[in-house]
Amino acid sequence: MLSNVTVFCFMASYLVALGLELARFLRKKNSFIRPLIFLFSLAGLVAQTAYLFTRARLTELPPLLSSSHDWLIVFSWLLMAIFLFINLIDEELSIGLFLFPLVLALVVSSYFVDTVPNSLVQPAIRSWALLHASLLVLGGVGIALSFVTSLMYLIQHRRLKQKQNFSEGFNLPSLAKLARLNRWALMISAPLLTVGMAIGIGLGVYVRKGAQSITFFDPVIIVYEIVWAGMMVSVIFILRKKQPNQKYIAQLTIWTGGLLLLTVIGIQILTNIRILNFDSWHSRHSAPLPEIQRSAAERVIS
Amino acid sequence: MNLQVVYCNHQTAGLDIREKLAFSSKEQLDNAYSVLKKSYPDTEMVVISTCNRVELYTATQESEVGPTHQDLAKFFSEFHQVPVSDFFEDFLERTGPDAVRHLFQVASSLDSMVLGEPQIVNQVKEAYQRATENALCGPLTHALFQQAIRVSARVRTETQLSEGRVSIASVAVGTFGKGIFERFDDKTVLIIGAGEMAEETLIYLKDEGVKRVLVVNRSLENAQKLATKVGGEAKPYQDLEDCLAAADVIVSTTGAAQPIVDVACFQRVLQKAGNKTFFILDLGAPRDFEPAVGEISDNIFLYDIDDLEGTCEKNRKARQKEVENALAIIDEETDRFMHGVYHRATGPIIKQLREQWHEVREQEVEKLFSKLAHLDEKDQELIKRSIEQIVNKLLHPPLEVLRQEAREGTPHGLLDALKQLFHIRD
Repeated sequence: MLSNVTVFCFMASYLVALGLELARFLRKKNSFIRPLIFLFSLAGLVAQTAYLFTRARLTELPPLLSSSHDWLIVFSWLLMAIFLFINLIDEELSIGLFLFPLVLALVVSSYFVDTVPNSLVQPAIRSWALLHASLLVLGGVGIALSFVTSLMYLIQHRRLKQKQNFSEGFNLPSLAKLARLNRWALMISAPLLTVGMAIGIGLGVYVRKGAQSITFFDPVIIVYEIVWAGMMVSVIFILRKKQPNQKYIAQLTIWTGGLLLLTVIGIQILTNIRILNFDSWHSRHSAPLPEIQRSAAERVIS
Repeated sequence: MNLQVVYCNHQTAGLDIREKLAFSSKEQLDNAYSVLKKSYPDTEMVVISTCNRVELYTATQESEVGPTHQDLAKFFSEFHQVPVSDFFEDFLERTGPDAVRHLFQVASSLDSMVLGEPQIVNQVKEAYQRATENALCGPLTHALFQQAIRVSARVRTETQLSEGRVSIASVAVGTFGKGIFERFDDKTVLIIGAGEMAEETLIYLKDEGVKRVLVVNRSLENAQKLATKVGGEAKPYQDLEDCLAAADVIVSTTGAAQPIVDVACFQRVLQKAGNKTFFILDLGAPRDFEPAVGEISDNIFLYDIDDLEGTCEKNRKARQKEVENALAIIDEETDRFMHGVYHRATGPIIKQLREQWHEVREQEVEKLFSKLAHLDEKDQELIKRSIEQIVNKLLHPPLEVLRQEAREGTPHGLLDALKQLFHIRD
């Protein structure tokens, strides 16, 4: 029964929930829309959990260690869990409009990255690899939330400056709260990403010493390091200022956070679908593509 | 009898026009009254000037002697030095029952930006009192304004218009303030001005948890009074810039004729305050803050009265049913008032006619009884009653016609005819 759950099952649920969020936004307050959104999101999350269990059983690895595909599914699972939690606390908040596109983008991206377990993860380094993947996924969630709060900040700021009202179905927190949440998200995710990356490099060095030949010119790693450095500069800049211009910070966060998510996932997709002919630590060029990915890759290339 | 109102309010004109026509201080209003009194000595007048409206009510016994719409537009133009062409399109006129209905709607806050707000009835009372002090009220305006205050109370009691967000402060803080700040208990609020609006705003902000309040006013005494009332701190007007720098929420409600805070002033404030966020609520008309102050920085959020129009419209739509109930009360009261006015015009004629006829009756009865001395008291009483009934029956048709005509307006033709036919003098 559980093995019948596919990515499409929960993606469809999230798509319906996003459609309902849009309806709530366009058609103002409607008492039955919100429970429906919650219901579809919950159904999607249950399906996604079942899918992750099945994958873990098949690969005999925790989802975070298995493949880039599973890592992205865990990433989107965490975002959905956060969405449901926020929805329980504040049912009026229109966070779904911002989170669902991100979640769907991650789920769609998972179609285009490796589904086969990473051969570099040897039993000896499994605990470290798990820590590396966990820190990166938690850091990534932090960056995604920071991206969303910044986007909400800019929209709220624009409304307040232009002295407009939102439609009844669209509610955002105050600028002060959004700025505070953004600051916390950055403060938490920056060290997580840094430590996660450091462990990753350490693991790379360890693996290189062994039988496997890997290069440090991995495009995923290089791009990640560049964007990470940019992000760290921004975080230091933000944290050092006593009275920072929050609008500027929101813009900076959108650029750095957005770029980080986009490039890291984008590069993985590009290497996996053979547009970039590189072997990556997270996607082996020499490994054969599964059927579903091969057809998706062919569509993209054509 | 002639009732008229000329007005310009938040529905007809923008703040830029209203602030030019407003009477921002008592002195200015007294000057206006003395000019009007000189020009139209036989006209009763009341001016209502608030941040949302400038209205001039006039009433005359004879329609020929009162000022016209154009006359009053000319007065506003000359008094405020504003060309008539700048505002005449937004300067509306209503007469007779329409003028009465308009005042009742204003006093009941149906015409207010914030539906159901309680302040307007006090502003109407103050306007009426000011006109009375200037000896510009007469029987018509007394009756009209006293009735307007009663109607306002009736609407408040019999409808639910006053429930929910019913003050400009609550709308402004609810719509914009809470979009800027997460909480208010750690914010410093500066109130510039010490009037009723300032007090009401402070009461609302106190309910939101504000602890530190600074009050600045040109009169330190008034600032101290308000500060004591709301548990704030009065500051001299000279400290305005320091107070602005210390504040997070600024509410300005002065009656200044010119902006009291311009861009240069606020830039000095920013040098002291740094890059913090300001929520400024300019409730003055004319405005107290130059609109360009809001453009100085991303962290300055400046709102004036007209910026709240959108939210107030939503509020109005949400309470459409209550508006309809209130309008029904106002229509009923307008009819009653107009009936009373017309009745007042026909009353003296009816009274005189009755007195005249009964006087004739009594004279004739006396004559008859002197000739018929043998009649006992019982018979005399029967005859007296019978003749009285004849007189009443004869009087009934003309008086009933007069009453019916009076429901539609003052029946000048009929009254003249009765005066001539029965030799009735004014």
